[in-house]
Amino acid sequence: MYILSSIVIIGVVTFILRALPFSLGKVLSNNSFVSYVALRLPLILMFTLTVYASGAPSAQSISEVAPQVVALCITAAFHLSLNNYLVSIFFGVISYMFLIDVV
Amino acid sequence: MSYKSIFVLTIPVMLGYIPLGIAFGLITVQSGVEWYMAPIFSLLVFAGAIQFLAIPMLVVGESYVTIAIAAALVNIRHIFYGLSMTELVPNGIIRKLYFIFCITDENYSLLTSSREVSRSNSIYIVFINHVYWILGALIGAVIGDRVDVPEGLDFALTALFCVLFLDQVKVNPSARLLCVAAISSAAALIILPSQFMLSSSILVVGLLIAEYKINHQLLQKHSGG
Repeated sequence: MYILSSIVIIGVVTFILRALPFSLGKVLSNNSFVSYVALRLPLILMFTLTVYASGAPSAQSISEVAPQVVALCITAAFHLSLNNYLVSIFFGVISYMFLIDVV
Repeated sequence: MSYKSIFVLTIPVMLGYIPLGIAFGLITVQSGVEWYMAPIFSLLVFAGAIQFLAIPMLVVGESYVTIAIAAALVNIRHIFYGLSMTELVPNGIIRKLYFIFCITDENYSLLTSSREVSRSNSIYIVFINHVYWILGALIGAVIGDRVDVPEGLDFALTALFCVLFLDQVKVNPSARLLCVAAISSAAALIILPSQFMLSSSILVVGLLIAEYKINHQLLQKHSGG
């Protein structure tokens, strides 16, 4: 029940965000603070989500997230040099699997 | 557009959605969530990143508030998609609502990048893509029950956010924004790690408001105000 309710909550929140421009389109595109934030938020949020998804908030010590940090550096190195999503994510995951296996 | 050309248009999305859907199904099962929740999730919510992010949250039993905040943060960019798709919304209330439900990153980029798409066929395109998404989750959930999923596959989500972040940096290389990101996350990790999403997002909004006010004052000064 908890899982199904959570899914419904996610669905409702997502739907509201997607529907907003159809009812508030004019207000949104004319508000200078909204467009200011819209331009800047994605970068910050992707950073926040990377930190959250890495498991850092629940880690007890820095050494616990060392494999994630190293694998993220490898992912970033691939992405900055080759600029291919699948390649970057593939090598990031492979190196992470290797690191947690060895460490 | 013929049905065949509509199908052809969706092929690139199929190549992304089916493997990604399979990965979602696998991770759902690997996390110990009932297998049938994966296709149900993809039926009721059509949004990649938040679905991947939600699975570990559901496993640890995060509160509904945290889950709602995470959904809002991950999908807030969707607010701006609709603004450029008003011409593509189908007629009829049910179709309209379903179309809005289907505004994903991939559908947005597909619908707005082809001239053949119109109000009359957009619903079929998003529906076919939704079917791919559910199908992938179903396949992943079914095979995830039978095969051993290698440990560490869940890092794919972290890596995905990392590359999305790097793409944002390329478009908008700003040292000040990187500072806002780093400060808010670091402070949230130190002050309130158990409520990381909530505390970091409050800090982000606060820092952005401060930054906006400072910029605004500088602009007024420059214009002699």
